[in-house]
Amino acid sequence: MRILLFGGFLGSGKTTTILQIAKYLTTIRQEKVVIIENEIGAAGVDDKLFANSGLQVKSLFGGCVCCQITSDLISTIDEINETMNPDWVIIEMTGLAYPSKTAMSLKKYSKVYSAFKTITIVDRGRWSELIAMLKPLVLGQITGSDLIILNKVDLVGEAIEKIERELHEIDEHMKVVIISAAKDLSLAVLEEVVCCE
Amino acid sequence: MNSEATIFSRHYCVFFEKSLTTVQMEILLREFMMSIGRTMSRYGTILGHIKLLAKLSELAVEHYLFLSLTTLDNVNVIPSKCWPNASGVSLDCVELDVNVLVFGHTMNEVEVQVDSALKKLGRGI
Repeated sequence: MRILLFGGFLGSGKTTTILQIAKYLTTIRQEKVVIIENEIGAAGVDDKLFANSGLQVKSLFGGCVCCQITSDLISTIDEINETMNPDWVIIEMTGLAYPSKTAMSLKKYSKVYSAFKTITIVDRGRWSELIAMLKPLVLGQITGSDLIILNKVDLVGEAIEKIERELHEIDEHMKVVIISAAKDLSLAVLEEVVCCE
Repeated sequence: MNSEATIFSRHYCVFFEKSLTTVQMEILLREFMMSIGRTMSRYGTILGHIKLLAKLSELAVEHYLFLSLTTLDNVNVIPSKCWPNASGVSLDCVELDVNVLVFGHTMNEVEVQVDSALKKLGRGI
């Protein structure tokens, strides 16, 4: 069982991107996928989108998996492994979570996966404003990720080259792919995202 | 700016003063999102997100529209499979899951804006 952990700021396009990744894995590669959806607040919204697409979803409400309900996430992964035995677990974190923090906990306490990857989605359209107003959170979400997906490149926003340069100032080896999740992702991008050791 | 985000997540059932088609309702829901977004945005950018799940519980099969907003120029709308676009469908009410997660606005400010937008939606404006 391999795990893809998706993070990124509120509204960056995590759900839309995951839908495409999950459909690729289930329909083209014929592999079994379970999605863990972590949402803050009483009324879940994103989990309905996954369920309506015929995907298997486990919802985790009541807090953020990176700081409040980490143990719930670990026990949910164990349960999924035992009862459903999927090829992939895709975790969508809340837009306020720090993926590297959760990755650290999973690597320490979960023994049921064979490969793991942390992916952070960056919103091109709001990059400048978010860096100006919420820099610690945005940079904290990016730091330590195995892959950055620079999304919404079809929308107006900061120059892509400038964002890439700033991302590489955080980590010069950071791998960045550029997409618009509102459109079909290329096979090369899909393969890059699921390339997981 | 306050480093804590305001987390607003509520369920509503809105009754329309006049019956609507699904197309009319979608236009009103877009305006509902924009109405909240205009006051929550900073130079057109929302420091967070506004999400809405609108469910048609009157029909035999549950249909929904998912709407999200992060920048004022772009309300993203995703319909459920087989979303009824037929003009013959007449709707008297809609169930809404409203999710507003924003930085820089208090819970009271969000509540006031959502309440105002809900009233306009019910009146069909």
